[in-house]
Amino acid sequence: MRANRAVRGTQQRPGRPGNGRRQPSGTSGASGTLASTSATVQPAAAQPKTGGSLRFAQTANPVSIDGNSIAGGGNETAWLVFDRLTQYDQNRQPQPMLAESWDIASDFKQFKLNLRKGVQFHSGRELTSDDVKYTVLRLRESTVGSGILAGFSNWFTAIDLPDKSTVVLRTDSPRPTFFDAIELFNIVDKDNVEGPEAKSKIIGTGPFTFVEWQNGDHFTIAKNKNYWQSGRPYLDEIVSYVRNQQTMDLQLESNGMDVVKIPGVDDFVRLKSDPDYQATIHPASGTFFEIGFNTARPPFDDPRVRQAFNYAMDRKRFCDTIMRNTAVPLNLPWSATSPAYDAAKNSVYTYDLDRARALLKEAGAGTIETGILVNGIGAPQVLQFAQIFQDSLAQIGVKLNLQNVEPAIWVDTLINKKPDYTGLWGGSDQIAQLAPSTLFQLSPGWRLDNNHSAYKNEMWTTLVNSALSESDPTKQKDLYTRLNDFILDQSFTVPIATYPYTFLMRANVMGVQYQLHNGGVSFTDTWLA
Amino acid sequence: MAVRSATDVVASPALPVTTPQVRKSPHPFAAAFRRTWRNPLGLFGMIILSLLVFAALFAPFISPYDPIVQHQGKELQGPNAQFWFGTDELGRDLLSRVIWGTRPSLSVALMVVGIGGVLGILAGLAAGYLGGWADALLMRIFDALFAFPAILLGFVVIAALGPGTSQVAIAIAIAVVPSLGRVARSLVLKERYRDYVLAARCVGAGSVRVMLKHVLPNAVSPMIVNLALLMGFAVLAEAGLAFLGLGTQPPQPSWGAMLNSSRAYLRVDPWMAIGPGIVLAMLLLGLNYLADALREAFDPRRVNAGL
Amino acid sequence: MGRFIIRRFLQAIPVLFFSTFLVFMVIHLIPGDAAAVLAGPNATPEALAAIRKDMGLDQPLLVQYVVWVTHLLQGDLGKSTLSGQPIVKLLQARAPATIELTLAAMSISMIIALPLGILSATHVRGRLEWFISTIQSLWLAIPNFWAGILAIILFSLILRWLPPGGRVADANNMGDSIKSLILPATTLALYLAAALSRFIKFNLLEVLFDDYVRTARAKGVNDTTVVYRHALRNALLPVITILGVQFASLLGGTVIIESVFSWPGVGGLMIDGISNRDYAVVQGGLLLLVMLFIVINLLVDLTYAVIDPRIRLSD
Repeated sequence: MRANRAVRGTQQRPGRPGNGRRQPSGTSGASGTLASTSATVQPAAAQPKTGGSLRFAQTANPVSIDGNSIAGGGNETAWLVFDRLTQYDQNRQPQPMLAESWDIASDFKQFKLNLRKGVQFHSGRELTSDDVKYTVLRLRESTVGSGILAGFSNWFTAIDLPDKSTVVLRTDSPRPTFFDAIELFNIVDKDNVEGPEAKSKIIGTGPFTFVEWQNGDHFTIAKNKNYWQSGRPYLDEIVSYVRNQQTMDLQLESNGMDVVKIPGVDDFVRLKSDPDYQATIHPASGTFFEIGFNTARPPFDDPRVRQAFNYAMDRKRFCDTIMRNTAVPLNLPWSATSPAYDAAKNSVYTYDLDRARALLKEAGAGTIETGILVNGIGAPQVLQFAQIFQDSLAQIGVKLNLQNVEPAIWVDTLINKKPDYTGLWGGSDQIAQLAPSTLFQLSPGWRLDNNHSAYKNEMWTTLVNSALSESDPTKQKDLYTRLNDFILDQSFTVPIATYPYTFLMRANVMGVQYQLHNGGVSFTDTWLA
Repeated sequence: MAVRSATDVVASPALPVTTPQVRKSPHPFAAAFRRTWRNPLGLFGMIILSLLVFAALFAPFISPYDPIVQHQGKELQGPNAQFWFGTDELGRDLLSRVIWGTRPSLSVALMVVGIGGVLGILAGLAAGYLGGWADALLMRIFDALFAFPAILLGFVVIAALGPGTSQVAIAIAIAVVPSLGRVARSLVLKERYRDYVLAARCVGAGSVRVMLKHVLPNAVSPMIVNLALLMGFAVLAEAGLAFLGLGTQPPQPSWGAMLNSSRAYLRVDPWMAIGPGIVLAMLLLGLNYLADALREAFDPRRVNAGL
Repeated sequence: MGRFIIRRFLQAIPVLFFSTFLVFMVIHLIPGDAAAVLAGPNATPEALAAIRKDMGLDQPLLVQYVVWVTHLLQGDLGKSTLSGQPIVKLLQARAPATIELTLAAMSISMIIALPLGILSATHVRGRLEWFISTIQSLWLAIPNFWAGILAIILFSLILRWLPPGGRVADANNMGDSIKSLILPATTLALYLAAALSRFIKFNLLEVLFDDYVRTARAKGVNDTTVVYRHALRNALLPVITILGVQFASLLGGTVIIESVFSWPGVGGLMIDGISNRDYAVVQGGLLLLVMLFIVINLLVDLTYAVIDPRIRLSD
């Protein structure tokens, strides 16, 4: 069950059995065999009990339960019905899932995956290599998901199936971040997805089977009795509710909920010291808040103006008063698991209004009046930061108007530039916990083509493309340093602080796994004490 | 011979002709208003309303701080000597925000009454007076609009226009035009066949002139009660929509929006919910009492029965 | 009578038709669209365009409207633009919650309002009436979402008697089901009751001053009989209208209460639909609500006409 050694540049660590030990929030846990691909935060002593129903609540409502959809809200709902080929552990090492072992060519242009045998879809049909090929090709359709996964899927110029349990993927350019891509590929069932019930029922190979979806209210899944990980899952059932923040917090405290994702900040802080609850922050969600500029329009085409604005961001106040210290200021997007993480560079832009004023003067900017486009419903914290920002900017002669629009309008404006906006935009972002090139590939705030900040720069393009194909770790380090310096200097999209994915759980919930995709958790190893 | 009019009587030689001393009767509106403030509830309503209007007009002078200024380090405080109502999550003075919050609430109420009222009354006038196909068309449009759940209509209009105080006012105005129009129409219908209208038309007065000069003043007085109630409804609707996230945008203060943000801080700083809630209730109470008093004042039967 | 029914019915048809047009245009004229929501903030412009095409949103509005109406006439409400689920199923899943809430609220409100209204009317200008009237006005003045929040704090947080939200609808667990219904229904009911009791009071007062009542009194009939036998019956007629209208408007109007209490009803479905630009859901749902409103109004009018002959003769 170990990965192959014919791989240059990545290291495999021998697995350690047993559960991880209690971890302070913010650091990662141990890697290991499949049974412990997680940083669990409970003492290892207790023996898991089977049975029970877990009640999970979050405010995000999945708009689609399609396994290949990457629209929000899906992690603790639809994604639990599926498996992926491999799964990262807390150290960003891929662990076997549907792929038992793999061979990666030294030029990173050919990837051979050996599939686990005897895995069944929930319909009873056995998983074969055809299903993997089907999924990869399906991801290319722009109407599925949202084009991001298509970007990954399009890497693979050839997919060969030498037999029913082998898949060989070939790419044109070297893809050392291969595992970042397949981390997000939920393997779907062709019969389900093309059948008549596609929208009302989903079938995968995952630890839980689909039971019911009441859009906007709850999503129910039940234990997959034929799961290939024998003995898992422990739980009989999980019901994921969609609730507003106050209600779900109150329900948690009146024993109406077991796990709450992203509760109210004050409730989280208050219950941290309460022994009846566990208050955790996802150690590697890779999510953060950011602000960008429309760099195509003056005065934001001048990097000095952008830097000035960067110096005017009172990140500390935001983290203290609004996020109650659950969030940490950022200058660079990376979380600790990312190879590009650089603690020192994260405090380059201190809150320095004098510096900001000087930079504005140097750029000859005069008084500026501009607007910031935010989505108060989807990212209320950004709206609050925008008010702090407004206050700070007023002190250096900049008038910032808040344009609080609905999600649909926010997306349309930034993607299609319709209507064109002239100022700043603010929102939340993710995938900063994987390889940096993945962020640059996926994130609309940072990508090369048509990013929200309308930023185009030759140096940037070169750097990003190199990052995508560089496989030598020493060269990578150097590249990341250059990238980080570039990001800091150009400030076209500016991270503000981490967006902590907080969880409040009752004390008896054990074995929750923090996954390395999209700040999600998995309940495969979860049991109720 | 049959007596058909006063002139018959006076001109008849059989009766002595004396001109009784008649005191000039006060204008009906003035009389009604005097009745209103003699009514203790009406008086109470008018006082509250005046206080709040005063607060709205003189907000810059009477509020202790600028409502948008964030006092760093002083967030989420309860009432104290420096901030009488405490502060919100960004350190802004709650008392000042409550005072300034009178502006969006009252201006929305006025705009709704203005836009919706004028449109509704005009439409009702047209429907009631013109009759025929104009009436049928308008009534069907009203029926369709009326069948729309008001809050969803408001939501949709705001989604189309974007958030903001005037947009909220327009949204609410659109929602109330049908019911105002219906009331106006029925009042007009009542008046339309009255003698004085027929008389005016006999004399040759044109439709519009009759409508505006004769029918409108008589139809308006009962409408005043509706308008007062409408203001109350508008204030509540604005707060409701602000509560759902639409309406006046941050950092401008608005009671509904303040109540919405208070939800996240109920345990930490309940004062965020108390100030705006109380003032909102006061405004609505005042408007309701005023409407009640006006209704009593304008009710002819109560007037005539000396009650 | 027959002519009256037919006339009313015929009047309803253009309203219905106009409503479909209104419903459709109104949601489509809002900026931002469903494709943007499904695609999400990470989408590429090409993906956005492809999804838009797939949803049929790139067709001219009028064409989309005609397509929709054609389906409607065949009885097909369509599928959710975002999730692909049949709208009828979505509505079926959410409607019971709203109907339950509405009926419960109206029942509670009637129980409170009827005696209050009668008492107010019969004790006009008395201390009791003043007291009741003050409470009524106060209650009308308190925004119901604020009242809801305060109720949650008191009954859920502090007293722990009732759940803070969400709906339990388990036939085997009537206890929990009822408990989850109490707070939202009562919050809604108290507001309705305040308005209803005032209405009853005013109507009763009007009737009590009417000639025939004075006649009865002059005849020596005692007060209670006057109130209950003669006046009440006549005063209650308009109340039926109000109740019908209240019910119809509540069906779409419980939005705020549903939001405060996380009650999974039709209101929330509509609001989510509008925010997400899920055109099909909003069109289908709004149309249904509008139709229900018109039908209920029609029924109320007919009932009224049956009871009071003056109505059908005068129209």
